[in-house]
Amino acid sequence: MVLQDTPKAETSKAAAHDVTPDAGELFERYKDRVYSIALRYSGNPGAAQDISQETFLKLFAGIGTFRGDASFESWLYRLVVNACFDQRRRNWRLQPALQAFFDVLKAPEESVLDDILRSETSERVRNAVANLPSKQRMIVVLRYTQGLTYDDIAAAVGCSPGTVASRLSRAHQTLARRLK
Amino acid sequence: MTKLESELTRHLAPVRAPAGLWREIQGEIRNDRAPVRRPIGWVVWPTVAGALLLLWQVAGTPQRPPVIRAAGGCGACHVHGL
Repeated sequence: MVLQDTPKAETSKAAAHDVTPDAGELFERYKDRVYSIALRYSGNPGAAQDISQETFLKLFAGIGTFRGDASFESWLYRLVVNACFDQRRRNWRLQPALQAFFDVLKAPEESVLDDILRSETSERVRNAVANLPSKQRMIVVLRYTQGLTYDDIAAAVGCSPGTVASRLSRAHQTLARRLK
Repeated sequence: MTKLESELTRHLAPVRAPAGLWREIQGEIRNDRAPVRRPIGWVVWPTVAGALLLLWQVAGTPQRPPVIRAAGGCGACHVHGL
């Protein structure tokens, strides 16, 4: 997917005025992209909502300082990526214990019917992605959820396109092994 | 595109944002409730450190033995018999 720059008029309008009137337009335009990245990265709708909320609040608070040096969307993706990493950093201590706890609670309730109804392939793929190291996972999400180019991913994550390529290649190897 | 790539594209497809999200964000903006998310460590550890310091100050201070003044006794003659 090729990035489309937001019309300058839109961003400068948002920058010049109070945040609220144009905030709605920006939100409508980008909400699905932001939420999709957050959900595919975190694997949890609640966490994805928190990440999206944090991203948009930072966007609205900082849009006055956005000078248009980079693409607006690159800046937005960078905000989402940072919000995802921040969220993970906040929760990483609790996550394994909580996950184990919920697995124990969930196990007896799962029926054979649930297994049949659940899309097994989707579950397997998403689990495999969820178990990738954080940075690799983010690159996979940006690549396959948003279809970004290596350059766009590099700008969003803050590394070189070569690093993106190598991380993606390692992620592919890991995923291919896990999904055999 | 390899089979793996097409699988990833299919299963990691974009989704629609939930309907209530905008309302939550508006509420945050209106109430000016900036998401101050202080990590729990920044609350717990200074508290524990403060408590330990206080404990050390109170319980860890060595008891001073009574000083018997060379000339005039210790000032509590009924205790020391001086």
